[in-house]
Amino acid sequence: MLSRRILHTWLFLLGMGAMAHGLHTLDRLPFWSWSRSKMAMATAPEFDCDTIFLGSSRMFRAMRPEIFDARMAELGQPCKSYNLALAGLRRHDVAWIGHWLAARRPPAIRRVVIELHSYDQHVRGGQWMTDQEIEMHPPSMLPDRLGSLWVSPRSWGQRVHQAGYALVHTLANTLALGQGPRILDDLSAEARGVARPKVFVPRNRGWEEFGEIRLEHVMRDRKHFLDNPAAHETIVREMIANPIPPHLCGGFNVDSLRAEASAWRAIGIEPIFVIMPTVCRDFYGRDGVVGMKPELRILELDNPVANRALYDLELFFDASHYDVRGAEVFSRELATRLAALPESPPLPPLPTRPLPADSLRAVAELDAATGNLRISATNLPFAGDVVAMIASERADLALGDGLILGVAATGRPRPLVRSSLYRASVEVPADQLPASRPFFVQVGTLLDGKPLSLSAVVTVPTNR
Amino acid sequence: MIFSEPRFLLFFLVVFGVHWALRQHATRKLWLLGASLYFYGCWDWRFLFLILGAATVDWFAAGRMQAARERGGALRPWLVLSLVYNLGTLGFFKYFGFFVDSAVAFFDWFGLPMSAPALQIVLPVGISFFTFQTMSYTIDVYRGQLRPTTRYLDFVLYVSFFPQLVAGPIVRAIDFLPQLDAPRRFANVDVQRALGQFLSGFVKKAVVADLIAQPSDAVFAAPGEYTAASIWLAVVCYAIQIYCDFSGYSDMAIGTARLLGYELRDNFRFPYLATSITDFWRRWHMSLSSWLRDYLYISLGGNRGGRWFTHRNLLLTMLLGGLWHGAGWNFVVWGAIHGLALVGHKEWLRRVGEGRLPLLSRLITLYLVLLAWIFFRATSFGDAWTMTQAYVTWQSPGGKELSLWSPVPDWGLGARAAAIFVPLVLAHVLAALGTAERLRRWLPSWSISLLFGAIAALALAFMPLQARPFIYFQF
Repeated sequence: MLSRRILHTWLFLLGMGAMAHGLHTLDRLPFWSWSRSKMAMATAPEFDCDTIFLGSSRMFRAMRPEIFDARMAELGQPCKSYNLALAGLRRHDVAWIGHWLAARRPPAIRRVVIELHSYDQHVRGGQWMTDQEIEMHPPSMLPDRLGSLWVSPRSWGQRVHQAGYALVHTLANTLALGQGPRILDDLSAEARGVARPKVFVPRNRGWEEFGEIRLEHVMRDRKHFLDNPAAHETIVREMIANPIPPHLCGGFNVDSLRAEASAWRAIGIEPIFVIMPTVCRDFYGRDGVVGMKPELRILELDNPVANRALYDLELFFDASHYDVRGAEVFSRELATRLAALPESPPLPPLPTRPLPADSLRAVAELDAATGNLRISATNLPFAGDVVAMIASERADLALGDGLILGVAATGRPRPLVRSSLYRASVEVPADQLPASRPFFVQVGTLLDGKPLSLSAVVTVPTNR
Repeated sequence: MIFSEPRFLLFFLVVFGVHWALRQHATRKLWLLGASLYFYGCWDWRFLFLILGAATVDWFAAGRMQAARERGGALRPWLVLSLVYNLGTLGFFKYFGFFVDSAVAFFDWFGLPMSAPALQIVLPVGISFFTFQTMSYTIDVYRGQLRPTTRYLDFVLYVSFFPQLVAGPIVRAIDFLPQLDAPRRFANVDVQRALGQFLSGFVKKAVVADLIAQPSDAVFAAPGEYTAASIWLAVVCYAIQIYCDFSGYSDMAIGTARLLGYELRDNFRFPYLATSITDFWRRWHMSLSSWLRDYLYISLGGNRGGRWFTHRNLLLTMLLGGLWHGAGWNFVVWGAIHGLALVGHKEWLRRVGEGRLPLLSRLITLYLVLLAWIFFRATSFGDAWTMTQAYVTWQSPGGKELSLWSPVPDWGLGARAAAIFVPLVLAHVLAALGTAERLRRWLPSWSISLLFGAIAALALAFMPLQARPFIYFQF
């Protein structure tokens, strides 16, 4: 009797697991609300940044890619960077983004600058069962998270609480809890003729000014910071007097950090870790980083003496984040420090154009009955406008970056309508097509007016 | 903590595991009592005093009644004590604000402005359910239909048994207390059947009710902006929502109780397939309708008088039944519509007879039930009237169209609605025909477990992350 019940319990769990696995295989994109565009952008075929920044809101608000790039160019190490840091992330979450990105291996990335912080996983009430928390807790990360809690110096009560939080969110992730309608929406977006929700091109290459956000807890922290200047100056003095106080010692998950660095190196990307300058002391296990210095490239920017320029309190939005001017100073300083790393190898060259053959495909078909031309493009990059050029003659015009315009189009490009992230189409009436035959069609994508990619030229053997 | 929350699943796993791991029947009951009080205390620990107070007063009153009966004394004072305590508590917590507001509005209407006492009373969850349960106990003892239990803790467990505590079914002591006498055996539990019932309720509540609530909420929030077709569809959506919400909760309650070895009576029997409004009330919230029949309608005299006397009793029962649902005039109107419909049906039966025009009868019943839901759900009389006009006359108060999901963009509102409603109606009819149960018996047992697992995962994936509270919790 008992064995029968156990067998049925296993069968029930097997059924659950199989269905959950099936749902996961149908799901392709990161799903948490506003940042899915940012993540998907980094894996688009046209993504050509060689340096990316990963981390929490501290990095997100502090790193301005265009300033960083300009400074790197001044220092003779030109690069193109993208701020992929996201608000609300903790150490394991940042590691998860790394794994997600590494699995997709955007070809242009050569260097990743990662915010290094404590493996502490303190529970934030407002994030209970949010999309972001669920997505950040895949089963593969659970051993790492529990390992960090095992070595954590926090009390057993707190560790059990945090372990429960991690387990529940991991279970929710495993079972794709609440994700069904979104997956169905994503899968049917093309058929329904609607774009996926919240598709936008992140501005400023991923950086966003803090002042634009007026969330309640953000403004509360800011007020506290502005109202207590003396308290924060005291913190800075304590940081100088005692860089790693006893209460911050212990509990650093060395194995997890080592595994993260190895994963990046295995795909040919050099990880550089940065400890962010802040006016608060919450890096538990800070002493553990010291032991890792021989193995990893770590920039310790949390020392007010060694990083005097970064510790002007006027530059801070609150105790943890820089404001706009602070971000400018930080971005320049980080570039300077990065360029000065003695063992920094030269970056490998960017991938050459043309783009991989499967990056953008175009099809043009004449409707035998109406004579209209239906142009469709597939495998589109996540961002950018899609246009088609129709011409009666071919051309061979270099547009830079290895892009060749293959048609001698004279009129305005004809926009295609995206039916999903990856597909777009348009139907051109017969009377608007070139009279001569054959004629030629080429599809391209434009981002801010600049060509991103072009398809091969399609020859249309018209019978009109 | 509600049944469709992950927290409840965790809570139940612990309760279930420990319950069956314990060997002594008495210890198991104590464990269930502790779990039930914890479950109720999760809302607000202060409510525990209320439920324990009701249980204590009624247990004491019933005991005194039995003692009085044995020595030939008066029973009525103890019944009055029970009724005054129960109705007083219910009246204070649930209807105080309603009566004060109504009085203020009434005097204001006569040009006699009054200031209402500023007393914010929080409505304890499930108060209407457990009050009715304890009242049925003392009334049954008073009528001599039930011998009171001498075991106080058994009685508290009966009142607070967590599967049915906050939204029913309203369990009669006569059904439940005898189950507490005999030890429960896990070998007698049909786990697959119980799990199937829980799962069916979970799908109804967490997937269908919560998802279909979204379009109907939008229309009920601003009905004046929508077309008549949209209003019709919103009313249908709400009818589906409230049925799936409430019957889903009942299924989960019954399934949960079964897993612990206890049986609760069914609460719904495909009410929208009813052939008449009388039939509807034999299928909708059966534990309440039978309670109202046994303790209110019959107490008022039932049909033991003339025709108009019966009609009066029916109307009064339904008006009070409406008021039981909530302290608002909209619920009274809802009750009145049902009362009038029941009276109308009685007259129809008298003049025409039963069984004539069954299809038309079903459609008329459904039409009336949907109409009544407008008053049940609307946030104001103005909105309810706007919707009723559109519902009856098909005149659109606005031009906005209800937003319904569809797999194809070009589909009109009718096709979109059909894409949602037809599968639901089909599933409902198949379930009413017993197809699911037949399928369960026909399929090999191992495949059922596998299938249940897959359905559970699918339901979890499609449930909204922010679970809505059960509609009947507010009652």
